[in-house]
Amino acid sequence: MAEAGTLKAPSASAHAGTARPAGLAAEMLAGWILASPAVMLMWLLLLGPAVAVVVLSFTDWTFGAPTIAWVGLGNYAEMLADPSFWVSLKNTLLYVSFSVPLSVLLGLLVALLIEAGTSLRGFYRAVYFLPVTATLLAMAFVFQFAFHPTIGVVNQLFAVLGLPTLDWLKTPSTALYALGVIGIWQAVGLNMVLFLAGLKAIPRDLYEAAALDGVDGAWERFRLVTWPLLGPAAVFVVTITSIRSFQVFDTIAVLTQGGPNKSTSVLLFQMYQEGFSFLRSAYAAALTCVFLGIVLLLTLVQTTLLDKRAHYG
Amino acid sequence: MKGRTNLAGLGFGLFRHLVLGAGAILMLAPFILMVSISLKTQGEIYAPHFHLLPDGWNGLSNYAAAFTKQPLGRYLLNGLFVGACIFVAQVALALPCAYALAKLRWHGRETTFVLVLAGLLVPPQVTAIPIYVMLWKFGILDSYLALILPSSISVFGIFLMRQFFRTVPDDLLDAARLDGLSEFAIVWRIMLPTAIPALVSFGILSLVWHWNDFFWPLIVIQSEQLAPPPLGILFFANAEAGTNYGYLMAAAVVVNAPLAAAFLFAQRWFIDSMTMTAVK
Amino acid sequence: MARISVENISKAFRQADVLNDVSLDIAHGEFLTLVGPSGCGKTTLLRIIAGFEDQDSGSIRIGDRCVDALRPKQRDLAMVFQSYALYPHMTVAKNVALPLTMRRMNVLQRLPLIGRIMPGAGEARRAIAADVCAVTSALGIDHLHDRRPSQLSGGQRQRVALARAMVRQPLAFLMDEPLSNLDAKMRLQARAEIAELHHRLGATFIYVTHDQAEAMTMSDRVAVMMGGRLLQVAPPQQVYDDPATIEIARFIGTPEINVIPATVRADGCVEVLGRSWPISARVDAGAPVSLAIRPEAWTLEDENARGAELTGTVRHFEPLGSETLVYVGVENLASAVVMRADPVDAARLAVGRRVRIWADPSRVLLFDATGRRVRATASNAVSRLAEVRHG
Repeated sequence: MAEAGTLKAPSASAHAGTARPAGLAAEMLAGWILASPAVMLMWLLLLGPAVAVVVLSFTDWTFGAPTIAWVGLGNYAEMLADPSFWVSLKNTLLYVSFSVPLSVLLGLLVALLIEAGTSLRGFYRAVYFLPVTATLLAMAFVFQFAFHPTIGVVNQLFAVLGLPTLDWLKTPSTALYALGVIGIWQAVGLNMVLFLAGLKAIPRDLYEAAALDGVDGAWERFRLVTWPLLGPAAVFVVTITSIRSFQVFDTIAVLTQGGPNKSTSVLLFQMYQEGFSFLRSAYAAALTCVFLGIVLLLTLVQTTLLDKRAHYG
Repeated sequence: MKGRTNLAGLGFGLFRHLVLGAGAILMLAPFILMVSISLKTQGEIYAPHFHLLPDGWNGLSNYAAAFTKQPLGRYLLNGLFVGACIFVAQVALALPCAYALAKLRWHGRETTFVLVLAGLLVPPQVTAIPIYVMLWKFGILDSYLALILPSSISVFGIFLMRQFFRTVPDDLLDAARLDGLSEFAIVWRIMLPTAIPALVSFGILSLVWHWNDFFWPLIVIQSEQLAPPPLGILFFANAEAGTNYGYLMAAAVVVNAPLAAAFLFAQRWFIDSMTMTAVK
Repeated sequence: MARISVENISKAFRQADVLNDVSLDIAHGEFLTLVGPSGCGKTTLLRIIAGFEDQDSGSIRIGDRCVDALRPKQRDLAMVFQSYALYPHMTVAKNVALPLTMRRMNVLQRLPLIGRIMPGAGEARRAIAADVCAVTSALGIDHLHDRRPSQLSGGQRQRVALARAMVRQPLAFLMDEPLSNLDAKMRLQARAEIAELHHRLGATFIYVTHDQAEAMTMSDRVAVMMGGRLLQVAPPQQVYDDPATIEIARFIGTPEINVIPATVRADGCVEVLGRSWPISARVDAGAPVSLAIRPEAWTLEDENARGAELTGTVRHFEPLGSETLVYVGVENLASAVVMRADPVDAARLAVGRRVRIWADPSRVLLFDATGRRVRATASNAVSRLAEVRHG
């Protein structure tokens, strides 16, 4: 055989292993060294506290108390018996259930309308996105003025139009919706750009192919091409809007303080009050766990939906 | 036939602008209202009928009051300082970790990545109580450190950078190793410069978030001189008993202005950066 | 100095053998090409030599040193990557200078801004700049110093990658498919340039490619790898004329070599499609063998063909200008026989016409059922090459 001399018998590999190759060990070490500061802080500031919150929720600790005792599900039992928890939960779900669909649909509508034409695209995109970067706390006071019972523009406008006027933020039946308007105002822009990104990802030739196949008219195009392909983006938008909605806090903290008559007290705000005003840390921890559970559930639903969609996505 | 299509097209164009234009006015209305009030006198603000343009221009005195009645300048600097410190810390911690997760083989890499993903699921409010207790034990409540430290690690930043680094070809790293760079040098000399677009996006996200964050400062900060802008606004509102809208709106305009201006100058960057949450 | 020895290297990824006991000696100044289909382990072998991967067993020697325990940068090798692996954020000059900066300047001197005022930094920088200039002007890219990789053409990037490899005068150059990202025309030009560069530098080159044309045209020796094994190491012409296995015969050469099934009769003669050919081999009688015949070993002979002949029908032509490939369909053969014909001769044929084609018996390669080469003797006086084949 040609050049058979270079093809030595396998037996000669006996001396292998005399010098252990250096590469892998060095890479291991480098990996650990580079990752460890972040990993340590991640435990200290994120995962550790998240675990601690769960553990704390099974105790009776109040902030600054010298003793701590295990009470098992005591806090949760108290919570279930506490009508104000149920009010908060109901408020939270109500807030989410009307602000999320509205801000998602409005975001989708705006995105579709912007993409449907060519003129002023950049202008509209900028205008609708501007609230996303706004300092919500400062804007809350603007809305407070707008909703003012006598000098507020909302009531002045409604009076002109012959609509009922109210002290929107101080009326139990409307306060939560007034806060929702602020939430929607800030969320529409983000949803719009997410939908725009989803629309951009739909290949042009799909519309052309659909046109050749006889798909005519805007509604048919939307139903047969746009919407199915936008599905994953829509699931995502709904999830993050929902999670953000559950986190509503700033506007409640400065405009209503959970009132009037607990009509705007949401989970997170109740947690803040229990934990940082009344210093009932363990009870607040239990509320936090409920909050965390809902957020995790939402993510789970999202993942399941997206996995199902992936079959034809 | 053709004429009809054109007409329909024109009609739709009109409809599009009508709807989008009306929506745009609603979107801008709070900003317009804010600026309008910030230019008015106290008396005119409480006048029974609202006018967009002020009768008597009182802007100068309102804005002057905003900066003198409360340390508004200090609030702004606090926001900038805290935001910058957080961003630098997040990058300094995330880059090496993301590199190790994306490009090196080591035991525990998969576990660490799972931890990062788990961290992504935890909303920032969840850790508030334990971290508050921890800062209290360390005696650093009501300090810059109390604002910066809890945000110094960003699992989102690690995740984002890891995804970005995975697109960097392995050849580039091998070339660098052959050229004599250590793993540490690769992170700062090769990965950091190539990641700048991703870092800018992440930076915008991080700065916007921390400039606007109210929940955490409300919990840990009592001193006026440490307040970031949103908390500062609240101090304003409390000090003025929520009555002098002129000063308050002037302060609100000032607090909103930096980000709004930055957004208008770098729209593409802002929008891309916010869309990036889509990978989350 | 830079003789490179690969000794019994084996490597497995997830239990799958990627390299199976590969041994290879590369002489100082030699241009050796590792060639094989994708997935054959050639790139892995190169990366083990460079130190990017650890072998499971065996060792690598460069010069007189065993380098198994050395990191890539300590092995003093340079590599040109398929993607060129240029640092996208650095200018051409900085890209080329980096290997020198990392070696000649200390940590303090390398610091941004402050580094400039460290003792000796200026001097070192000037020396590096001079070396960079020398290399870039030798490659004709000195006018591109301030460009970034994204502003360069494919050919220019390839040269920058070469320059970065050359600048520190390494013991050997490793090249991983450096031409595969170039268009066809640039590739021909770059092929010639690299061969010339090798000549000029007199350094050891280990070149990995899946393109057998590159392997044939540039190398002193070709190492053919398949399935993680080294099958043959020989000068290009020898690999072509005298392949060790049927896989090599098929892999090297375009159009692909014709493989025809045959049997060996009791008298040692080879029988093809029921006819005896003037070729004999010492194989067990009745054993199935494969004959492999290069397209140029065939001649068109309508009348006087004798011995190693086949009869078939012209299927189609591929005129290439200087020659025409004729595809002849033969009854009971799965695929058509390809032959090179003079365009003038081919012009006399037409599709569908019956032809007899005749193979030079001395150029017929014989392989046993396992694909291993078997020496065949052309029992015909026409044979010119019957004497000796070195081996």
